[in-house]
Amino acid sequence: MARIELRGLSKRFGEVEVLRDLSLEVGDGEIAALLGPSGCGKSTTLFILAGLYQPSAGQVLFDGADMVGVHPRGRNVGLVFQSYALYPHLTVRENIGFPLKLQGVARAEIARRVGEAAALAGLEELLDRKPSQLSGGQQQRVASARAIVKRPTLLLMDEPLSNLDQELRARMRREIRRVQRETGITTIIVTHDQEEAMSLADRIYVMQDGRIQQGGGHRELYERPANRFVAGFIGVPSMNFLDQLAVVGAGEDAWLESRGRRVMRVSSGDGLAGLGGLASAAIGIRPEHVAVTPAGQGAVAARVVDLVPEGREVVVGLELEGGVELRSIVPSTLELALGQTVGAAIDERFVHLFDGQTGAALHHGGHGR
Amino acid sequence: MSGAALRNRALLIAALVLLALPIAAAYLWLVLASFGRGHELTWGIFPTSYTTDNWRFLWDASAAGRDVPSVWLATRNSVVLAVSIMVLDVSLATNAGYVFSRWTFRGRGPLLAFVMVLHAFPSVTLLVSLFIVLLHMGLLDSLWGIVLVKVALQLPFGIFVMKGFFDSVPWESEMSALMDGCTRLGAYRRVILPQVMPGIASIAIFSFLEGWKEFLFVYAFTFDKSSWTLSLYLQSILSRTGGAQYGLLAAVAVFYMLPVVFFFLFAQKQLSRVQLGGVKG
Repeated sequence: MARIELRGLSKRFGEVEVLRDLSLEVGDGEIAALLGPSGCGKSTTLFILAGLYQPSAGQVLFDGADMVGVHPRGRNVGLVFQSYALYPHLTVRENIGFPLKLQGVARAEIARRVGEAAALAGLEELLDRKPSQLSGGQQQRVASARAIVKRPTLLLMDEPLSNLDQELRARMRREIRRVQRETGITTIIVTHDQEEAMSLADRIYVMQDGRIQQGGGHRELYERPANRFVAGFIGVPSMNFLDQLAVVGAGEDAWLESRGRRVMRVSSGDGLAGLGGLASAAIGIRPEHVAVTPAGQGAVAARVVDLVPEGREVVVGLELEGGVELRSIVPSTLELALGQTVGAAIDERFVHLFDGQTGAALHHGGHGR
Repeated sequence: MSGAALRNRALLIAALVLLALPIAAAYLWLVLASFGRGHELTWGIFPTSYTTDNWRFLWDASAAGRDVPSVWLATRNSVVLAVSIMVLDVSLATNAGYVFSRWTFRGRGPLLAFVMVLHAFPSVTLLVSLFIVLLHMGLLDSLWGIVLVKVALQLPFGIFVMKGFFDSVPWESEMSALMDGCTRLGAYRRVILPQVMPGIASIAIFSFLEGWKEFLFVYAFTFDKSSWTLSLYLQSILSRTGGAQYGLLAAVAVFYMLPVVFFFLFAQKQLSRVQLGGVKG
């Protein structure tokens, strides 16, 4: 069990800079997730934590002790690979017991602890099978059991559920949480799936281009995204962005324009109209804050161009005059047809504002205000 | 199984039997001939009378003639030659295959290509130059010289096969071993090697057979009968002036063949057992 900290980490592979000045912290017994699109450097970060890669610069601190240059053997880190990397020539029992055997643990003790780990992972019946005789979910459990059997100070999981089907994924998520709670091992999970990150982790670090874009709890990331990337990455369906903004008119008849077309009504005073630098900024608005109204009711006119039913709700693609597109999410009970003309009303209170150049958040609407 | 599938299977088996039949018949004839008497066995499949006389060369050195050494000496030489080639070839090809598969170093591509070119020369074309090389190295008239030549000629093939096997073992397997507490060498020995056992087994069979059946180099590079292998022993009986004794010839041939059959059966089993493991990703 340990408190993990990365400080100013960077990593180059030849000319390619994979990680740039990356810092993060994971508290003792916490689960953290590194979340980002593929190629963002999250697996590289994981392998540096494991000791399989050496960083080009920076520190890797386990409870304050720098681990850079320490062989994986000296770190006591468990790693669950995306491909599970089970040893095909060994049985499940031998796979799980392998780390202990290497540590020179006595045979009886190995048997006891393998039994323990197998019970925790629900593998008691499968101990004498070979990995090729197991299903994907079972292989995942063996990999997890092998990673925790040595009682690691840190458990790393690289896309642990990406090879499993939907239903199994939900179950394995609950199991990973349960096992982590029971063992209290500090855990870092790498994933590209925000749902997985949200459901597993206490703290999520969103990564892009080798940098941490933002770290925080899931509400913080959703309601106060630090920049345009995080705002667009977190949330399904993703946030709408509108740029080339200008406020026209005044008083009761003030409007926000994007690319020279009206997109929403704004109130003067403390609203958007009061913010400077609009011309070079972009606004972001979550689909749930774009209301679909009957045509001509105090909102801009829009045409329904796409309908994606998602059970309870339906994601609506709207095209405003002049080609601006917005996505909205509305209850399925609202009956809409493709091509229908409706009104689109952006709720001014929930608008986020981002710098047009850097993408940094300038203003958060709604709960974040 | 449906009727059509059953019929297909029957057809397949029939075709295989048809193909195997001539070969099986030839071996059967050989075994029967080794127990046949005199010259009668040259005609027809079954000898008219049976005897163990042809096998006397095993315990009575003079039975095979004065111009050949003891069959046991030739057997020993054959075993030494084949096993040495096998051990050297397997260990060198395995380690080199691993390096070619896993390490990137300057000149890796050209070296790999060069290794393959080396393999393209028929060994006969090298006979004279190898003779001179061995002469200067003082390895002429010795089985060890032949071992080195054979290993050198076979190594490219072995390296290529092993590289392929190592390529199919995922990096994660090795990384996982490091995480579990192995050193790099430990990971190689405990995790990687067991996964390429089918490759090792096939190279072992191949190189053992290459040594066991080798005739040309032994014939060309050794002068003393104490260095004869079974292939020279057999050849000498076959090419006797005054006609070969076919009963003896058949018995020696069967004797020459038996270890190979056993070795192959053993290695075959090893091969299929290891492949059950399989990597699933």
